[in-house]
Amino acid sequence: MAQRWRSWSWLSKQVLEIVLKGVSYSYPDSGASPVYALSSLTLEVKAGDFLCILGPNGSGKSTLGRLFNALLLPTEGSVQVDGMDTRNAAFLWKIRTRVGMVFQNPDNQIVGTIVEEDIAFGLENLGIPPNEIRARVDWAMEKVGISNYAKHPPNLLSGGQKQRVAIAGVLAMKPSYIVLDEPTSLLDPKGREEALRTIQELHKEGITLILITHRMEEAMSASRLLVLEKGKLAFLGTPAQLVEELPAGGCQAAGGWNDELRRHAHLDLPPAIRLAQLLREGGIPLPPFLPRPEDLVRTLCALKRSA
Amino acid sequence: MRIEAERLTYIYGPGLPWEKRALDDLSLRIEEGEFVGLVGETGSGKSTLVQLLNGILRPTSGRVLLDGVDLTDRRKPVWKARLQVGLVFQFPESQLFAETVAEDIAFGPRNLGLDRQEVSKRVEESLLKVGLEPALFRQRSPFTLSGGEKRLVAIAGILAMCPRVLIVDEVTAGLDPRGKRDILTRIKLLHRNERTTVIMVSHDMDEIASLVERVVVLKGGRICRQGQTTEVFSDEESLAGCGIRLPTIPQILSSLGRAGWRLPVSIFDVQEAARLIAQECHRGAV
Ligand SMILES: Nc1ncnc2c1ncn2[C@@H]1O[C@H](COP(=O)(O)OP(=O)(O)OP(=O)(O)O)[C@@H](O)[C@H]1O
Ligand SMILES: Nc1ncnc2c1ncn2[C@@H]1O[C@H](COP(=O)(O)OP(=O)(O)O)[C@@H](O)[C@H]1O
Ligand SMILES: [Mg+2]
Ligand SMILES: [Mg+2]
Repeated sequence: MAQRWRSWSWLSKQVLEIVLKGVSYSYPDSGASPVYALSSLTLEVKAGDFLCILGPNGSGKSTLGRLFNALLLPTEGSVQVDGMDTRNAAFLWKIRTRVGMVFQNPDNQIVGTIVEEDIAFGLENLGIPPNEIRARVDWAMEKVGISNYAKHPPNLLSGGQKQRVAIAGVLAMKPSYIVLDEPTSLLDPKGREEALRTIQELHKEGITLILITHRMEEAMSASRLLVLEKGKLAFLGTPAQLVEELPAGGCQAAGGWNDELRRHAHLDLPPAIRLAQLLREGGIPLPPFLPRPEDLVRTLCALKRSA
Repeated sequence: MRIEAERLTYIYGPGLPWEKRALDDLSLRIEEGEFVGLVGETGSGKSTLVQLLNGILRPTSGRVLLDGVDLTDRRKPVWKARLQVGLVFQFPESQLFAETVAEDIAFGPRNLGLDRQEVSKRVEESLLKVGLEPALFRQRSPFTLSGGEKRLVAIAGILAMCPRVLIVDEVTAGLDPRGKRDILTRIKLLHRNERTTVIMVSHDMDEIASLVERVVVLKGGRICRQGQTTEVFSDEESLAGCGIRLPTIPQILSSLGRAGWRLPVSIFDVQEAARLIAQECHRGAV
C-alpha cells in the first residue's frame, strides 16, 4: 500500500485543475470552414474527473483536446493548467508533462524499435537520469500490463497492445491528466476492451482523464459528459442525465423534443440502454440508469427471482 | 458482378524471418447482388483478402475471378474488371494526396476516361452522398479536415467511380453516429437499388447484424464459419471459438438464456427483444 501510494504520489502535490475561460479557437488557414472551430467555451476539469467529450465529426473535439496541453493556443480566452497559462512559453514543457496525449492511431505515436525503448523515449528527452528512467519504464509497463512484451518490436503487437504501449509512454511522464483522442476507434473489440480497462484503471489510481470518443458505450463510464456541436457546448452533465434526456426510439424518432434536445440528434444510445428504456416504458420496474449490458442482465434476473 | 476466390494463399515477406501466411488456401464465392459481412479478430486476414479481391495484391497462389475474368492472369489486360471493384481501404484517409478535396475525388473518375463535365458532376454527387456540403468542402485541402471528414472524402472518391462491387474495410471507424448511419444507409441503397455487390468488413457486430444477409468469419487466414446472418449469430460458443462476440442484443438474450430465461438468441431488433423479454417477465409475474 505504502509502495503504491509512493508510486502515484506526484498526483497529490497540489490542487489540480484545468480551467478554460471563454476559449475560442480558429485555425489560421481554415478556408471555407466555420471561422471558429471552437467558440466561447468555459469549463473546469477538476482533479479526479473523468470527462468524456462527444460530438459529431468536425465539432471541435480534437481542437479542444489540443488546447488542453498547449499543442494549440486559444485565439481568444485562456487555458490554465494547474494555474499555468498555456500562452506563457515558459510553462510549455511543464504543461506538456502534466497533460499527456494519446491519439487514435497507435502507429503514429510509437517510435522505438522495442517496447521499452519506446516508452523511455519521452523521458530521455526530459533529461531524466537513467536509473530513474528504468524504474519509471518498468512501472509504467506493469501498470498497463505489457511487461511481458518489454523486448518486443512494437510493430508485431496487436492494435490493443500497441495502444497500451502508447499509454505507458505517456504514463511514464507521470502526468496529472491524460487526454485520449479516440484511442479505441481503430481497435477490434478485444483491443478496445484492453485499452478501456487500462484507461479505467488509471482513473481509479487518480489520473484525471479526458476521453474523446464517438462510442456511447465508452462514454457511459465517465463521470461527466461534454457534448460539442459546431464548436459550441451543447450539453454538460452526467451520463445518467444524458440518457434520461434521450428517448429510447433513438434520435431519428425526434418527435416531441424541444430544440435543446434536438441538438443532440447525432447521439445514439447503445443498444443495451435502448432496450432498458423500452422495458421501462413497458412497465418493468428497472432503475433509471444501467450503464452496461451486464447491469441490465443482472437486474432483470434479480427481478425475476424476487417475483 | 460475381466474385470467386479459388484456393487463395497469400504470404507476406516470403523467405524472410518474419514471413507471414496471412491467407491459407481460402475459397469463397460471392454472387452478384449479395451483401456479405466479413468479420474476424485482428490479424485474421480480412484486409489481405479484400485487397486480393480488388487485385491490388496478387495471391501467392490461387485465383480471383470477377464474372469469370481471372484477375491473376498476367497475360490479359484486367484493369477494366479491376476498376469495377471499388475498395474503400482501412484508414483510407492516409491516401488522400491532392491539393483540394475536389481534385482528390476527381482522380478516379478521370482515370475512367470520363469527360470534364461528367467528372465534376460525379464529384458533386459523391460529396452529397457522404453528407459533405460541396460549397464548404470542394476547395479545402484534405490535410486540414477533421478525422471523420477525411474519411468521408476518401469514401466519396470511391463512390465517384460507380463501382459494381463495393468493398468497405472498417468504413465507419471514427465516424460520428449520424455519419455512420448515413454511410450505411447509402451503402444499403446502392445494394438495393443498383444491385451493387457489397462486401463489408467490420468489427461492429451490431452493424453487421443489422445489414448483411450472409456472414463470413475468418480466423488465421481461413474461413472459420459462414452462413446466413441469423444462423451464424445464434451460436455463441462456436463464434467465440472463431474469436468473435455476438452482437449486443443477442448477447443479452444469450446471458438471460443461461440464467434460465426461455428466449431465442438471434434477435437483432431492440423492440422485438424488448417485447419478448417483457413477455417472459410477465409470465414470471414481475
Ligand atoms: N489544421 C486545420 N486547419 C484548418 N481547419 C482545421 C484544421 N484542423 C481542423 N480544422 C477544422 O476545425 C473544425 C474542428 O475540427 P476537429 O478536428 O477539432 O473536429 P473533431 O470534433 O475532432 O472531428 P472528428 O470527430 O472528425 O475527429 C472542423 O471544421 C475542421 O475541418
Ligand atoms: N504489409 C504487411 N507485411 C507483413 N505482414 C502483414 C502485412 N499486412 C498484414 N500482415 C499480417 O498478415 C496477417 C493478416 O493481416 P490483415 O489481413 O491485415 O488482417 P485483418 O484485416 O483481419 O486484421 C496478420 O498477421 C498481419 O500481421
Ligand atoms: Mg478528431
Ligand atoms: Mg484489417
